[in-house]
Amino acid sequence: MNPDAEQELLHGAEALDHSALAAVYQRYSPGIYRYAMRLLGDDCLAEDCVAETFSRYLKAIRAGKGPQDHLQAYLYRIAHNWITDCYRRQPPPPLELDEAYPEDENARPETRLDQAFEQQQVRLALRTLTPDQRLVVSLRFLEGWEYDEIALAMSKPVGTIRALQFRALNTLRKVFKLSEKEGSHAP
Amino acid sequence: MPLEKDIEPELLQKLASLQSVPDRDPAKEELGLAAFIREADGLLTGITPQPEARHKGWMHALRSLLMNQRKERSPMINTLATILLITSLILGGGGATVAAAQTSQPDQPLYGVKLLSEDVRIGLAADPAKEAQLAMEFAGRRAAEIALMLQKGIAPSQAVQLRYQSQIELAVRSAARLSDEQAVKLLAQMRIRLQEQQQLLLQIQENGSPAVAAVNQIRQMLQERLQWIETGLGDPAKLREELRLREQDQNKVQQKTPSSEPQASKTVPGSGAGNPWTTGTPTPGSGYGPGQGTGECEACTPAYDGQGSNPWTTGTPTPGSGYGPGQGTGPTDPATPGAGSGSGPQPTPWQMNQPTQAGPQPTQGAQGTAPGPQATATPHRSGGKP
Repeated sequence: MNPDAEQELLHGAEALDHSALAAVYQRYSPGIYRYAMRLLGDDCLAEDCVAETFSRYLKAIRAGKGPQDHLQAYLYRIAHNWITDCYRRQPPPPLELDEAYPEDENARPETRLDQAFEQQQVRLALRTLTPDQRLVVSLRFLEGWEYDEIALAMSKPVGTIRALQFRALNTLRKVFKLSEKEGSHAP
Repeated sequence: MPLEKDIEPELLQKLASLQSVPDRDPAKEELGLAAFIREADGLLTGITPQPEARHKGWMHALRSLLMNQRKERSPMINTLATILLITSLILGGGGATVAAAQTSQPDQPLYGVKLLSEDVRIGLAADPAKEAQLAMEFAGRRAAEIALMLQKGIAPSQAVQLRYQSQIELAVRSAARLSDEQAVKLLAQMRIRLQEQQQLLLQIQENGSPAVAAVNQIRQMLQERLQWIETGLGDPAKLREELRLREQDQNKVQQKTPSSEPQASKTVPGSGAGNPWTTGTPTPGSGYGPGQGTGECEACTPAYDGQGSNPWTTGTPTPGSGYGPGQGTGPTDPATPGAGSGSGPQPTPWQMNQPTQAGPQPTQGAQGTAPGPQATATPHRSGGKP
């Protein structure tokens, strides 16, 4: 997004302008929803995550602590914190066929089951990571962000992001019982 | 940067399984947007005061400040406030009660609280020196209470007298647990205090208190404890040994007799009708002395040893006290008074808990009243027991 356009959007949102707020919501809420959906696997929880993320954003504006730039990174960080809290509050959901997969309706039941099982396995594996590691892996490999964008979102240097990614992948390899290739994938 | 450089394909493939996410329900998205805008409107309303409120804002602020009016009440603050209130009521109320009880007298309702607070303070004493000081302080309180009652012409109850005695004994015992130097220092202080208390009692007696018997008993008890202290001042080790023997003996008696009644019959084989509980040095004229027992109970009554020594009394009996052997099997010492088989006085409060080898005491009995040349004699522990 054009930085000037983003700044204009931010200023409008700070003034609680309806059109600016609606633009922010329409621009960023789908990504937040997908992010939450990937990590939580539950559309109700994902909707809650979106609603809470934007609600916290409003409260930050009211307190005069809203972001001055990088709104997307800011919103993802809020969503990530909410998901981390959600992980702490709730045990891992049981493995079941989710009704929120309409594109799979025509697939065979066993295929849907395999897909759901694999997704649940990956979510459980991501739960074994630290919150920071999980955020790096999610943004990098699920959302496709670059290192510098992740560094901005996490307010950490790129080197730290690489190190977090390295440790996260090693953990995931162990969880999935894959052979570690430390040399080739070192940060 | 291509992802394949950072991650092997197998792992990437597994993570990619999460890529496929169903589209968001547009209706829910609309609802979410509407809720978002509504919440923003609510913030606008909250930030900007109502027009009328702008002019009266200072009143609202003042009322909030004085009356603590809050739009939202924090559950945590409410809970904390409740806990603090209850705690302050319990601690503050309890503390006030204990403070008020400190000036109470034995015939007042809060006296039990006062005694309880003293027990707690002694129980919390960190070392024997502190314990001894506290016990002596509390014994001083008992002395003052007893003196006040005697001045009013009321005989102090046995419970008060017993507590007085036990606190003095606790002070002596605690002092004996210290090093010789510390023990002597504390015992010297105790001697001064006990002498003052004894002097106070003497004044009360001279003023003609009606409770003569009680005054005498208390003075006798004080005299005995002063003798302990004198022993300790001369040789702390000897005091410790005496206390140890006394404790051993009491333990033996307690093990043998589960209740006080059998205790009396077992420990007084002389079966004289004297005072079976007396442990200390007899008071002149008290009729304290041995009975007619045979001294066959070796466990509880030392046989006559020819010396007539009483391990509990280190002093010399007072002339005219009638203190001496009874008509038991032991030889009669010409230096002792005629032993009596008459009945002794009722157990004194000092002796209620101390069953010992004491035998019956000739007082006004047919044979026990004549004071002999026993001024320099040592009391005997023959057949009947002193």
